[in-house]
Amino acid sequence: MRKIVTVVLALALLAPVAVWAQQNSGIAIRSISEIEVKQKNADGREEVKRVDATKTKVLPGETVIYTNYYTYNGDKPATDVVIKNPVPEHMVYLDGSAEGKGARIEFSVDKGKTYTTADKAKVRSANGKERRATAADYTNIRWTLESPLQKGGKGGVSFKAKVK
Amino acid sequence: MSMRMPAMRQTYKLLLITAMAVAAMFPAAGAALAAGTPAGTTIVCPVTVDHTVGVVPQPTQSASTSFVVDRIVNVTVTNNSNPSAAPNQLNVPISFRVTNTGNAAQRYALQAVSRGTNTWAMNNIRVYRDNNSNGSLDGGDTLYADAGTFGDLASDASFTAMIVADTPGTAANGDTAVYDLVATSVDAGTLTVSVETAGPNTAGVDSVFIDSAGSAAGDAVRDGKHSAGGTFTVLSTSLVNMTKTVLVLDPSGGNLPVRGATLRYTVTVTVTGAGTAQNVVISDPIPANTAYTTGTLKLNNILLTDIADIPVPDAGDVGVTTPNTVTVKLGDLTSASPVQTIVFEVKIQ
Repeated sequence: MRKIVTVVLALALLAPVAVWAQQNSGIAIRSISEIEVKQKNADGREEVKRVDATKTKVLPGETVIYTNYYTYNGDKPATDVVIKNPVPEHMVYLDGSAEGKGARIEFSVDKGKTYTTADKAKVRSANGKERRATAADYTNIRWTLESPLQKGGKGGVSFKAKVK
Repeated sequence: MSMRMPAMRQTYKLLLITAMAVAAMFPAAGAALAAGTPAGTTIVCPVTVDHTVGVVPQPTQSASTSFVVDRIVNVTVTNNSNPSAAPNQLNVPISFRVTNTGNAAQRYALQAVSRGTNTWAMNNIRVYRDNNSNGSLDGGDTLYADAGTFGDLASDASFTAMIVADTPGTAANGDTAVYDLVATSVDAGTLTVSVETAGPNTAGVDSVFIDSAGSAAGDAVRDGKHSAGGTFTVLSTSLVNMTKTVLVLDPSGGNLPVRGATLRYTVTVTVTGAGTAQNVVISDPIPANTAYTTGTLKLNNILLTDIADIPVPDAGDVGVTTPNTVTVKLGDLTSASPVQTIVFEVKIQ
């Protein structure tokens, strides 16, 4: 009986602390890198499985899938939610691979100074002429959520890139 | 002002040479690597998220994910030459190129292997690194002892290796024997043959073999080895070999082929195979847009007259035997004859 009382007391003490943490952290972000591997399942059929890139072999030429998971714990709605990734060093963005439900996806060709949608991205080549940017020119990717995030709202945005 | 020009030009040239030397030492720096991102590279991908509550922008939150690029073990051996060999000829080389097509430095254990279909064998078979890549054995070449002899080979780098052997006296004209050069991947800085990482990923850099099958028996795909074959063909008659090189000397002391520059041609003649090559005559037309520089024709470092046989008979002439052509009569030569070296100069018009 005494034990139960102690536990309840401890919970009561912890509760305000937890609420405080939620209010301050607001939005949480987590990022993972995976690669797709072909594996035989129990029925002997080949299936494509995603495996954590840190727990498998990654060689030059491999395609890596980056996924950013976000969770919102704030009480008031969060607006202007913007998630940004650089295309990592030694990697090249895979054309058309960026995804994000309910997000506007834009790219930068100048290390994140300016962003535009894929159809408008331009670069200047060595001879000074402007040309349409290709996937290999992208240096950064930006997702802007189109509607506010409510408390408990969560989702994921992703892109693929190839190891040079 | 005009006095300064040569000094400026010299500085420029020096800078250029430095840049070229650096590029030669570090072929990998900056350039796209055929073998890809080096093994052991940690690729980090940071992410940030921003948001606003009401009108107040909130602090940026960040996270990141990273992984390590694993090691590709890949090697390519290609054959550069298939020599003819006279009976009893010593040090006949077959030239090969060994390229590290993996993404990490490696060493290679090298082996010359006689093809199973050979009906006779060369003698005294050795492996050398051809340090000046000229395809023949000379004093500066390094005899292979073990995988450590030639040190580590950087990713994407290559070297020329030779199988060198002596032809037995019993070899008959037209006989052929095929030898494979087998390169086995060895871990850099060690004498340990590279091993593919088995099973699941380890925390460190894993090794993956992606080499293709080679020509030698038992050289399979993905075994960390590669090989190529070369053929010795016995030639019991003689064969005249010629090489020609040119040195450009411009009027400002440089090596630019500009108008007025001198082109110094060096033609070397050797005979391989058995027997005697009789009455060897070398004729070399003066190139278009150049003019022969009178009095520059030399054979084995001795000046020859430009005219034919006057005042005393000598071996060469320019434009007499054949118009606008250097002609040098070398007489009878065998494989034992010293290298014959012909030098002459022309000027760019």
